[in-house]
Amino acid sequence: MFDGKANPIPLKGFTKLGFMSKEFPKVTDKLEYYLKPTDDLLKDDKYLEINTIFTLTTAANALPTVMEFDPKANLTGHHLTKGRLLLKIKNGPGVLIDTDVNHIEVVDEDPSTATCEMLIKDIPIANKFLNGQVDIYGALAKGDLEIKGQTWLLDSVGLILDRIPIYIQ
Amino acid sequence: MKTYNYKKSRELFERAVEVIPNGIYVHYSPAPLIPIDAYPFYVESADGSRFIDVDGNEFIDYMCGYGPMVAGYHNKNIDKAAIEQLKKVDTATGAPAVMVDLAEELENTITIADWAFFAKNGNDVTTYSLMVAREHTQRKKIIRLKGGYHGVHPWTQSPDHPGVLFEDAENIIIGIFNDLDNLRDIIKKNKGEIAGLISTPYHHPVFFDSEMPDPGYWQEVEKICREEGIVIIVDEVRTGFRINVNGANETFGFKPDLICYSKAMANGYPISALVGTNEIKSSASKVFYTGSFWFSAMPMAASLATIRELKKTKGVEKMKEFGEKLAEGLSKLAENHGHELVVSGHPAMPYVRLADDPTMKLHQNWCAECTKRGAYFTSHHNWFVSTAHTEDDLKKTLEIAEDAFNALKKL
Ligand SMILES: Cc1ncc(COP(=O)(O)O)c(C=O)c1O
Repeated sequence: MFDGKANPIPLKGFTKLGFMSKEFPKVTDKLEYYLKPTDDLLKDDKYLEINTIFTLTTAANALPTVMEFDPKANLTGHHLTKGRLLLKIKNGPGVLIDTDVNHIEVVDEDPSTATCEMLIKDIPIANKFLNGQVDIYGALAKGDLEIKGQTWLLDSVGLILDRIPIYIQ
Repeated sequence: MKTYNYKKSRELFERAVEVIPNGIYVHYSPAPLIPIDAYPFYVESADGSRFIDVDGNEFIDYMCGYGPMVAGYHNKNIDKAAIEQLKKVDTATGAPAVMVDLAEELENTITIADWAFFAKNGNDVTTYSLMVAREHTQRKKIIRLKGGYHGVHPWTQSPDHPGVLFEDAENIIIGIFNDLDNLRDIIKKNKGEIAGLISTPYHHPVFFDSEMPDPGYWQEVEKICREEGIVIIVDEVRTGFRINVNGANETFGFKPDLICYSKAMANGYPISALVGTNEIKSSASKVFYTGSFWFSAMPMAASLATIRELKKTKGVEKMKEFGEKLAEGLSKLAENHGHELVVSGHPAMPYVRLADDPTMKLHQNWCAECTKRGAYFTSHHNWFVSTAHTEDDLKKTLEIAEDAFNALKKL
């Protein structure tokens, strides 16, 4: 993702555009700050919240790319079925993801149209979940995660989500 | 009607997650039980058709341990046979005599069986069946069917799952149940390379309705496989001794080469078996395959008693009758409440779902409301009935289901 000082997006040729040369690197610096947490930063509630929301959005939006290029996720794509998954922090933000055979994308629709839901108890648990530090079955049983509806969608989307950290370590 | 709480189950689980991955794993994991707070996690005792959880709540058990319990928990005759054997010997240096009796009983009971090989879990023998088929045909490839479950060994899983490699699935071809054109196409593309076809006698996937074989399906599969020299393996780990004690293939009118059994064959005592025909016996003998506990005598004695008990009491007919009454009673109740209940599969292993809501949330809530009142219903796996389920159980179950339908209106 955003690593060190190197700018991850090729800006050559666009450097004469004011936004690209001035504000945009600042944005990426800011994004890097929020997407590369340290244990100390995570102790700050506001930071934790922003990091969690950014990670959730980034992970959801990375799904199509990971599904296209990762061989395991690509296979999962063949097994996907038609549905709409809501991945949401209770009393907080969420993302809505449409699925079909070989298709996955974040959509901006009414969350009540979801055919499958995964609700995460709160921000700290969501943060752990998104960083792969949660024992999923255990968290479900403890009520930290709650699922309902066409839960077979979660089996598949979960497999693709699981592949993301491999590319950002 | 009073609903249950599960305080002790939760407390135990909190401890479990610290020391056991997932707390409780895979098929007993509470995670797929939705909503989770409606379900108990830990069992304290069981008798007949019922179990009691660690909080003292009693359930009429419609999962029967996910299949093993077939003749009632604490079945007197079966437990007596097991305990008598235990007093003599269980695992010791040497094979127990009861092993021969059990093999003979299976040979006399299961139509196609000329021999029996024993192991512990269902997956022990599904994997063995593949090795035997490969040895017998000197071919590599195996056809298994989409949505079919044969255990957890890497070949049974899709390679997109954690810990499974693409290489594990290299010689596995995925076919489709009830689709003869698909089978012919696979065979055409892999001429002379397919060792075996493994399939359950009817299709009983999770999450979706069970599917019975179309008329003529198995007969045509048998004909094609005979022509092509493909070994037919039937996985009866789930259906075994619930549909037909002589083999479910007898119900559906065909003859496989190998059949896998486990779950119900010993009413909950741990044992599995691969049975087969004489033609394939020498290949079975050549494959190097065993386990430390596969000669354990107690489950063998229990299995012998279970099979005899099921035959003597016409257990299969009893379960079918109970399952039919259960399906009819629940369907009628659902209709009275303006819902549509779809029941598929064999009556002794019904797959049940409320069809009004395609997201399944209504169905999940109804199963949960029933469970909280004492009828243990899962929402996405077939249920099981046993010979121990009584008219009283049926009456109580229908009362619970009625109350649960009323409760749905208040959600
Ligand atoms: C049809 C079928 N085959 C094989 C297995 C695997 O058996 P086991 O879990 O005993 O290894 C199961 C278990 O549910 C099954 O239902």
